[in-house]
Amino acid sequence: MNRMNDLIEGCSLKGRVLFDGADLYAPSVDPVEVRRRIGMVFQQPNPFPKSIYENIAFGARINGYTGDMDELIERSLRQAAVWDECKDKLNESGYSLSGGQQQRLCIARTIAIQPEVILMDEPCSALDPISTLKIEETMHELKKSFTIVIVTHNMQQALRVSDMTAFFNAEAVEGGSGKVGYLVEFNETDMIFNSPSQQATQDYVSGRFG
Amino acid sequence: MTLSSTARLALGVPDLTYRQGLRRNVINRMLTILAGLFAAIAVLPLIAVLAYVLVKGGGMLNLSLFTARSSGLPGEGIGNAVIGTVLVTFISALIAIPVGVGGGIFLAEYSRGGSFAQFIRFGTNVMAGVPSIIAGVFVYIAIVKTKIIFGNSYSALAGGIALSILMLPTVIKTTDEGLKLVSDDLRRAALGVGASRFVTILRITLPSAFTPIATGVVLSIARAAGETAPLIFTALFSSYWPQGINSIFNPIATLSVLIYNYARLPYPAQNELAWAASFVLVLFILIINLFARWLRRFAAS
Repeated sequence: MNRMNDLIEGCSLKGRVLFDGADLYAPSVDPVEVRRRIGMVFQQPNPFPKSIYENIAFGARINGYTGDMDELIERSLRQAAVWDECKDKLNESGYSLSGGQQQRLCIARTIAIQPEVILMDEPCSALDPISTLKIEETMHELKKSFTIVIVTHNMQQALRVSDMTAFFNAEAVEGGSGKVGYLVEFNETDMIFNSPSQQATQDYVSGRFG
Repeated sequence: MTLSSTARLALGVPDLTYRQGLRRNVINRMLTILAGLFAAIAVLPLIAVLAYVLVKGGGMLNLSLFTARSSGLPGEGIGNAVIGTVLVTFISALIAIPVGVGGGIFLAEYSRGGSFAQFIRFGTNVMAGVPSIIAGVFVYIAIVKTKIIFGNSYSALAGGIALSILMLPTVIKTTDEGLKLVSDDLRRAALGVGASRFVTILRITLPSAFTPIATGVVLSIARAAGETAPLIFTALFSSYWPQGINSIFNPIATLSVLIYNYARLPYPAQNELAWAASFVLVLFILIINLFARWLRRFAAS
């Protein structure tokens, strides 16, 4: 959704992804422009090998942010609910934080570029339940000011954090290499979990496969 | 038949002492001695060369050595050759570092393992094994003989170009390998916050790979500084002090060529000077190597 799959060789797709009416995969689209509007949080916490301060300032700076950097950093860290843990060590390396804190630092980094949408690819899959809970609390806060698209394998998490849910499945196709993903169903979270229209969704949310 | 626990008790305490005469113990000792012997033989030339240079050259060392030029007259020194070596090595680094690091960046970051990139990788490996005299001949034919640099034939610049050809493969390879070590997570993180590819490489990937790249560059400089063959017919030799900026367009003395020239002469005075120059050159390369080690440790901390 923010063209990160450009980095994967041999990746192909059909259909369109519309973002405020613009097709993100149109050939004339600059992926860098897309990524500045659609921030991304990755599966593994991946802070830069720089100080906590620089981790956040980097994205803002390359995006031409000219305001008060200190203030932006404090606000981003507060929004990501990690300010209290790192307000006294902004000059220490991002690696000095724990996994959960690193992931929230990555979220703060993403918020700092003021995206319109935040894409989270299984942001909690590498974390323990306590950190997961904190990230989820963060998401509830962020939901008020950003659109969040979260990919998760954890159905309880989808139920807890999301308003709308889409169920994707992947199948091997004949003659193709690898699997092909497709959208099965998209609806309000309540509907998906309680009265899905597709049999596959029903099977998945009730734990019969997957 | 397996022994029951009661039967083992009946045998008493087992004899576990080391028996010297046992076949496997004898062979073990013999092979240990053999391996140690070969290791000693392997380092013997290294120590012998260093010790010889230290003893022969170290005694010659004094300040006037560096303040006098290789004039061929009594009381001559190697001052001009020291400056020449530094200058020629500097020129070669100035050419090889940008080109080599740029090439390495292309291989590691931009090429997607296509045939062009594979050709460059293969070419780099071949070039790393090319004898240094070939680089000298190439520059001699292409630059010295054609007088392509403002009508100058032998020059410090030609020498620097010849050395940079020797440095290039190492710089390309270490940059390529260094960048490959940088985790893809970091690249994705930078791209994910909207950095362009160029900014990602300049601000995130290159700094992360700084240590291996810098170490490779420094070691390649150390290699180039000691080269003689490509300099004999590119930078040639001069018995005068380098004069200002013009000196890069004129023949220049270097330590290695000075050693080559003076060691062959039948006069003891010049031979001693060659020893002194050897000592200085070895010291020079030793210091560069120590700097590379320090660089590695500095970044590790």
